[in-house]
Amino acid sequence: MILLSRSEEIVLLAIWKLKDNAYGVSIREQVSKDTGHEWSFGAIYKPLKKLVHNSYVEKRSSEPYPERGGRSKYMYSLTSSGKKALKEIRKIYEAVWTEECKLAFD
Amino acid sequence: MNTHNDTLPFLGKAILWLFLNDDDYYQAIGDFEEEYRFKAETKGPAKAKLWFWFLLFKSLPGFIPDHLYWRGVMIKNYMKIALRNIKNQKGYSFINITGLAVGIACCLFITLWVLDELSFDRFHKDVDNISQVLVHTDVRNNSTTPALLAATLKEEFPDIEDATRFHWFFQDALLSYKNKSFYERRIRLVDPSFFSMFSFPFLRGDPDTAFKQPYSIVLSKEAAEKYFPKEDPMGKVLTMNQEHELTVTGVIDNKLNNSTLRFDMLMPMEFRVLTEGSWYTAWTNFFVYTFIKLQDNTSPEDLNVKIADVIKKNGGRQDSVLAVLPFGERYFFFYSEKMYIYVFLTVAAFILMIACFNFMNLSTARSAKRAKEIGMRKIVGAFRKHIIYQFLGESLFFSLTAVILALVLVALLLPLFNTLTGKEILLNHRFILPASIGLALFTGLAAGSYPALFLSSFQPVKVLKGKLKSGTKGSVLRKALVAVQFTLSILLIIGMFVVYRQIDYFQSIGTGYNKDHIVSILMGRGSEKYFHAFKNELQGDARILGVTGTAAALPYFNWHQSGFQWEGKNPSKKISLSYNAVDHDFVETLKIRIIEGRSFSREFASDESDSYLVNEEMVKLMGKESVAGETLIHMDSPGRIIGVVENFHFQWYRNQIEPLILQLLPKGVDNLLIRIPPENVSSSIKFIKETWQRIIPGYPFEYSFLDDDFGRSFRAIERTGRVLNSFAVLAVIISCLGLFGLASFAAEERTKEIGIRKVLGSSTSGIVMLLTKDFSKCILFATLIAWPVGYFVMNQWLSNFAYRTKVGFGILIFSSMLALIIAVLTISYQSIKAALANPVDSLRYE
Repeated sequence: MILLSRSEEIVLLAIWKLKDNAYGVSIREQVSKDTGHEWSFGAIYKPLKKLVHNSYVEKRSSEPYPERGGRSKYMYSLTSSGKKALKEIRKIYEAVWTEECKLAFD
Repeated sequence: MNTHNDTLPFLGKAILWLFLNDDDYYQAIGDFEEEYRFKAETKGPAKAKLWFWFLLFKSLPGFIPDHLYWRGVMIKNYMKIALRNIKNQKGYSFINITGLAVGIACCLFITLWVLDELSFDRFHKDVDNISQVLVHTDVRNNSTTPALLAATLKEEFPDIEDATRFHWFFQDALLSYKNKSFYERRIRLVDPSFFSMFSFPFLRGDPDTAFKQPYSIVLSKEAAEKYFPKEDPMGKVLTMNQEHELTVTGVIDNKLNNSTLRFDMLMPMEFRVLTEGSWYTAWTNFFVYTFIKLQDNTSPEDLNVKIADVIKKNGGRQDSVLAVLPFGERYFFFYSEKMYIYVFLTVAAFILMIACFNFMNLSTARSAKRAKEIGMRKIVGAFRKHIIYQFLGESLFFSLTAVILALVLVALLLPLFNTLTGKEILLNHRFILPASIGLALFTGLAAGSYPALFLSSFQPVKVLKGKLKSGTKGSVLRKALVAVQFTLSILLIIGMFVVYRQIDYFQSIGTGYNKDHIVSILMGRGSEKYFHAFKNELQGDARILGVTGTAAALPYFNWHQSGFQWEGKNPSKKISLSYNAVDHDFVETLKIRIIEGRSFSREFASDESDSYLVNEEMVKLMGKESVAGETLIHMDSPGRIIGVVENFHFQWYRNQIEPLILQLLPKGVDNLLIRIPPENVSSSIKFIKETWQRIIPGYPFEYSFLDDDFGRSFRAIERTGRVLNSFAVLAVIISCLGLFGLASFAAEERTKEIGIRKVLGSSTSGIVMLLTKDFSKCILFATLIAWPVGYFVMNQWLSNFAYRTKVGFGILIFSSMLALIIAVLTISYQSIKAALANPVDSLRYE
């Protein structure tokens, strides 16, 4: 069974949603949009690091971009175990949040 | 395209760099910059900057724990190395820590002093809304106003929420309870609204009802304990001047806070109005303080315009203009000077700088000892910033230890500091902890930054090959820092000497009259009618040389009269002249020289009504060669100048001697001045006391010596001198501590060189010279900077005084010589030790 922390899960989903365009700025934007409040970079990097460390996510640097002062973007993409993790999380959700629970909290 | 506007602030980058490892740093800085540029383009650079800092600080909590986790292991190692270094080099560590501790202790003392100065009157809840009303007239500025002003202002101006008067008795009042009686000098009269405007804490009684009755009195805690040591003071009756009965309606604790409104007792203004009414309804009499409380959001400037001509409209002086003084500024306006705050803050900064420089110098000088360690760390994988961390951490450790020591020092020496400054500062100030932590961080970072940057720049290859010549790289800078330290020390010494010289000068120019062996008695209210009887009894006895009196007390009085007119003076020009009313024998008793004409004399009956004595300044003002016999008209009644006295000082030396007019007051005055023979002072005093008790029974006999009163007026400036003195000495000691460390380092460095020199025939004195020369040069250089700066600054200070000494070349030379001698003595211990060492020992090593 794979258990991720809440912020890791949110970031992982955001990376999946962003497909080929997942890097610091876009992830922060996506996560902030999804959760409805502003995340700082510090709050993004920590789960990202953990995800990379547990190899749910791959990190590689791109060509340098002028708007980043000539620096590369660090692009993130899901690995196969990352996708598996998302599926599993979904399964756990379904199992834990029974119809009864959903009704009670609606 | 890389314009200034769209790159991140340098400091922000530096913070990121410190907390992230390289890979994360590049990612973060790229991400930050991309959004930053976008924000800068769409919302402008200012908003973008704000966004950046906000987001950076929000991000830091995410960065720091991560960062700390990875560094935890290293911190343990750093601590171990730091402690080992302290242990191995006890001498250096001692110099470093004590130097810093003494420097920080000085800063803490000065911080406490400054906070105390700034705290005056701040304890009143409405301090920002309260103002004092001042009256400016053509001739002078008054803090006193007519008594009707307060009520008029409150009635006519809606901006003014409340007003109170504050007034003192002209003379001492005699208060008695049962068989206890004391003269009270600090009874003040106020309106009931005084208690709602000012926040004096009531220990007993109710501020709202305290002054319902005119015959009530509110006591300070001390006064209550004086009269009612074991009783409850509430409702007790005190008798004033043996006629009025006053009920105690409250007790105030007025010792808790710094206040410019000082009093031992408060009474309702009503009381005075009832007992001597007519004075209080005249717009021409200026004798009470008026305080007003403004509505919120009223600006004093607008109010100044509105109230400017209130006195004029009500038939008071036509040249008077009202203006308000914010109550919070009252302390600096009347009692102290902001200048001293700047002076002391500068001194604190000097001392802290000197202590920090010691730290920098000793750390970089010792760098050779740490070079190998740094080289190893780098080879094993430390980045430059890790070395920076390590050394910043070490210096923070030092500064924290120093702060703890400094706090102990401050706690121990606070009573001494209080006597020096004449304050009552307590250590439990709420700023003391933040101030200590702030000082620890500041000194740690300031003193540690240079060594950290310097040491972390070593290249491991060179260091480990032994190519780094120890300590040479920073030696020029080290010498420069020593020069700065001594420049600051010499400046403080110059300042100290000039202040002392000025005090000395004050005392040397004297008063212009003979102030020695004069007994001064302030007669209490109601006793002035006994003046002549008392004088007659005293006169003629061998134990008394002369008896006289004045209406305004010596040594300093500030009594002005305008409306004098003389031939040749433009009648429309108003000039305010110093004035005093005196008794017969004033000139003779004080031994003031008569330059022209004669003194007051009983042989001329007219002297008692229309004769004047003037001083030399007055003659100058009148612009005549000879003024004796000239007519002087005051308020339309003509009088005659009968003589001219030599200038004497009747005001504090900051001011020029002003033109003075003396007049006889035949009905008796209340400040007695009695000259007694220099021998047998106690028998003279005994005689005066016995006579007093016989003639004026019921009034306590209290006296002082005029020269003591005079000496007391130098206290403030003497205090400043003493404080400056202590800090100058400390600055020199700290500088010398550092110099001692550096000298021992230099001697150690050159052990072999000295050995070879001695083998080749160099003399001991030659070697001492060799070692002393370098640092002496620094101090000579410091002298060159300190002289012009010291000369300029101290001349600025002296220009505050009308009577002042000069910043002589002697003082400058003496200060530098003193610094040089102390420094050479410091160095010579190490130099002589090195020079006397046996060359065999120093060369045998290989």
